[in-house]
Amino acid sequence: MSEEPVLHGNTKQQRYESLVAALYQDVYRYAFWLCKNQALAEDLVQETFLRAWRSLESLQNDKAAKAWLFTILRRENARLYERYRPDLVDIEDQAIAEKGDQEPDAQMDRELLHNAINRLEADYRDPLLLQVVGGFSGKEIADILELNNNTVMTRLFRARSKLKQEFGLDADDLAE
Amino acid sequence: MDILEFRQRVYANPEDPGQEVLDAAAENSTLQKILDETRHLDARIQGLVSSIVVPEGLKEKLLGIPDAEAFESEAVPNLVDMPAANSSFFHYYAIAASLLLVIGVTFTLSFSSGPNANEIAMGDGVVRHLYSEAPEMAMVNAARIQAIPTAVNWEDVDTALTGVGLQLANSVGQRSAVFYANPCIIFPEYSSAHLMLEGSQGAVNVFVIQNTPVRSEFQINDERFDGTVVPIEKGNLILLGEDGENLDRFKDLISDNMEWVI
Repeated sequence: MSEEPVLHGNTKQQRYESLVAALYQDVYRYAFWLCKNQALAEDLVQETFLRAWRSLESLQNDKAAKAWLFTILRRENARLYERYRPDLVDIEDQAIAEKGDQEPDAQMDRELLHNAINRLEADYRDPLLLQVVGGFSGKEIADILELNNNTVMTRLFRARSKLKQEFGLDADDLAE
Repeated sequence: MDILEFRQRVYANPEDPGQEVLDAAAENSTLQKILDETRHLDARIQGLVSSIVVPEGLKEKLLGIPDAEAFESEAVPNLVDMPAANSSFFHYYAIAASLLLVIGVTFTLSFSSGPNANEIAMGDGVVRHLYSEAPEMAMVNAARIQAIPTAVNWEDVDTALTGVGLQLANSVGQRSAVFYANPCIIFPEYSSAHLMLEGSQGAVNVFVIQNTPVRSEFQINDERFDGTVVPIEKGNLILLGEDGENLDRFKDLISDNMEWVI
């Protein structure tokens, strides 16, 4: 990713506020994919930003702010929730906006895609979402997931292979 | 470049697969189709994720964190020294929120179909506490395997449960031996009791905590224990057994035979 710095201002408060404004929506959406639950995701995001506020001074490179936040988020998720596997419903339907201007086919397409991504093993789903949603580079994903770059690339390849296979794309020449 | 390598590079990074891949696609319609389809798939995923509704008021809550921290450090300085689990954001945020009038958390939680963070943190605390009592569990399990009669006197059960305002019919002891019964401190602010009953896989731990009942029963587990958190009238009943234990039997046994005395 390595794009524009998102932190602005001279004071810690100003830098924090710019961090929230720039990234809270991305962080929430990624948290939601991890938790599959609105309330848990919201708590997780608050915990993540609390820790970000407390250790903002440790963020040396503003361009890495997003990867830094996502790393905090994943650690908090592991600390708070991953240990448990409560009977959460699948992603709450009401949390996915139903755009009135969409055709029924488009709505169905989104549901199919949503279910297909959820069926991916976490090993494949995580790097895929980090790349597509977070916009992270292979190296950044490797750092966040504590994997080597080749493993990340392999998992990304397999994630898309599985999705495309599920949707009947490239069916005549599947690589695996 | 063969199609396998092409596909590997495109699937790994469709937005930036490298000039060699782009050149290959430009010269071959089949490869171009693979590239286009893959990018289209990514666009659909992005569209799906961007349609996740971000809760109203979340930004304001996040912006309020520095104030909540400042309030915390001024008003409740001793919390800083508490263990990590107790110094969790959720504890003191609740305190600060009452002054800052940051409303909406309760409203948001009402939509939850699963346990909220506080409830899960409570389950976490109980599991941690149980690991701290591993030696007692090991003794109970060893006695159970060797069929050593080490059931406690029922008076001990009564004593353990007195602190949480509960009484258990002694018929429970006839249906499952109780090997351990003590008041315990899981969360310093709430009274708790801990019993160990005889399960099929080892000791079954029964905790009663006199805290706010969870909104609905939920399961907890880790690599060793299966458990369930059950709301009861004046607190929570938490059962934790070794993997594979039938906890429903113990939940019914306790629930059907308990009586509040306070």
